[in-house]
Amino acid sequence: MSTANLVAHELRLAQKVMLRDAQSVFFTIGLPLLYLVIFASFFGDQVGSIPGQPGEMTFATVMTASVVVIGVVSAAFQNLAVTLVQDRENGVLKRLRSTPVRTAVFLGGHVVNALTTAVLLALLVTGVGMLVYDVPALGRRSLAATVTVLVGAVALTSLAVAFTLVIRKASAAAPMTTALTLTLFFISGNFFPGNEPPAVIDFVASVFPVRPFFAAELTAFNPNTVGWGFAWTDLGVLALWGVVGFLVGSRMFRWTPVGEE
Amino acid sequence: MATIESLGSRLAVVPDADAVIRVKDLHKSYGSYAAVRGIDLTVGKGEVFAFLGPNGAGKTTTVEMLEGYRHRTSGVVDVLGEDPAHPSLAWRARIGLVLQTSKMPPELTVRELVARHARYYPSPRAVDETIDVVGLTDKRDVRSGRLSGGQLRRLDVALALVGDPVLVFLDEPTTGFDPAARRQAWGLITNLRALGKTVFLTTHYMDEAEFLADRVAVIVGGRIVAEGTPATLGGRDGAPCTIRFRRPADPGCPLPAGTRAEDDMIVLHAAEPVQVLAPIFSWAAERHIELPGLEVHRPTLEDVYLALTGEAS
Repeated sequence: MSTANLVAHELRLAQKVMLRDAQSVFFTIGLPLLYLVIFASFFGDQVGSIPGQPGEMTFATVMTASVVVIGVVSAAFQNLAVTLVQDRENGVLKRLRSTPVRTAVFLGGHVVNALTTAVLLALLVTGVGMLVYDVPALGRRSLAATVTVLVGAVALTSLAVAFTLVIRKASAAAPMTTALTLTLFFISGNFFPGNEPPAVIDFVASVFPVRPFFAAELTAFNPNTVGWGFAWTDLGVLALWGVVGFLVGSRMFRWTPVGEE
Repeated sequence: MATIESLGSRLAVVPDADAVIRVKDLHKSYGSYAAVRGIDLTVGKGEVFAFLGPNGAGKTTTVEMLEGYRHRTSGVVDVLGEDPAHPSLAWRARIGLVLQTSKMPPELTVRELVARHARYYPSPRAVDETIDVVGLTDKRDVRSGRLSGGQLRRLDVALALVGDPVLVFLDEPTTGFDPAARRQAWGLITNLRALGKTVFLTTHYMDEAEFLADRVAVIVGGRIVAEGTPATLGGRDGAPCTIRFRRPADPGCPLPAGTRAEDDMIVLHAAEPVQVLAPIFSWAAERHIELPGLEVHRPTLEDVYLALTGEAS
């Protein structure tokens, strides 16, 4: 059986595992949508400017771009890292390691599942934003929004695989990823866009990938953006994170629980 | 492989050409703690080899070094012609494993899991037939998270077999089984031998080792303290029998020559029980005594195992 076929089978199984777990579906897909509904329902009609963005836009537009990012982080980073760590620490990966499955095939199925989920979630959030909260159509900036989602999702899946090396217990997987992503969402302005953060927090946020991701997505969503809407610098930072994640994750991925060889 | 060919005389039990597993002077240490202290063993093609030992004796550490999960500190290990410390995919395709605990995604069904493993192998067995072999046909569409402990172990065995391996490692495969399920599992392992598979079995059940194994090794404190067939392990075949029967009710009745009573029982130990029993039967027949409670007890594998592990520890 070809590698592509094997990855396709692994993908289908990874999708089944995710969709048959109601808790996983809620936290990966439901929670980002809930954020959008809550924030856009309360403040959606308000209009204002965002630092670094031209002109003014509705809060619903900003929050839709923000929740697209939250959704991609949730599917491509959080859910993937938690699944891999739990399977590793519970011995599921150790069992699989006894077979002749290649690491690329096994990880390929999980990564493609995370990417697919992230992209579908981004489409869903964008659709809800436009249909329910009057977010303006993106026009030719759709390409930039799509490319940003793809670059972000790929970078975050790489980082998820790398981040599994830091987590040493199955029970710590969800709390650690949640703590990390929530912190990054707060300091990157995903929940309170438009506020100027203190310089230190601003610097820390600029080092991590969530803020460039949000900035690039917002550039594509901003109706005042001139041209195609690509934020090349932010996309470059994201891509760099992806390369780092890939180099670390692909070389150091482990199949056995921490404490075992 | 000169180092393998120069294994000690004990390894000559299995001719080199037939050996599937060859281990020489295997050591494993964790810091200053030596878990495995110089093991030699060979397992021949088509053998069922039982590896016995108390908890903490180094059993699982040894098995995991043979399976490729742990790296040895020193020694030579050859499994199916390769060093398991550097396993190739082709090597993994020839091996089936049942680990000590069964771990698989609870959301996937029995058939989905077995089919998944089958896809990894170049020449797998038929999925439904493999599920049938382990007796899970009626559970094939049930998610693994809803199986009982015994059913999960059987699923694990199916996952180990679906690649049609040459060598199967079974680490305590029947722990937690009810008696009927254990008998079923034994039938399955017996079938593996009939198919020409080599089985490396670890178990805490002596009756299991006795029923299934061609050869047995006992590890205690990181060293092998005895090795042989279940019938001969630790000199079991030459060990004296214990003969016992209740003493006659009539306190005036003389006892057979050379016997003495312990409470109301007469107990004898004899290397050749027929020679000892013949005059006792004559003595009883002359007196019309039925020898109530007569037992002739050879040491069981468990007796030998407990003696070996007790002495060694």
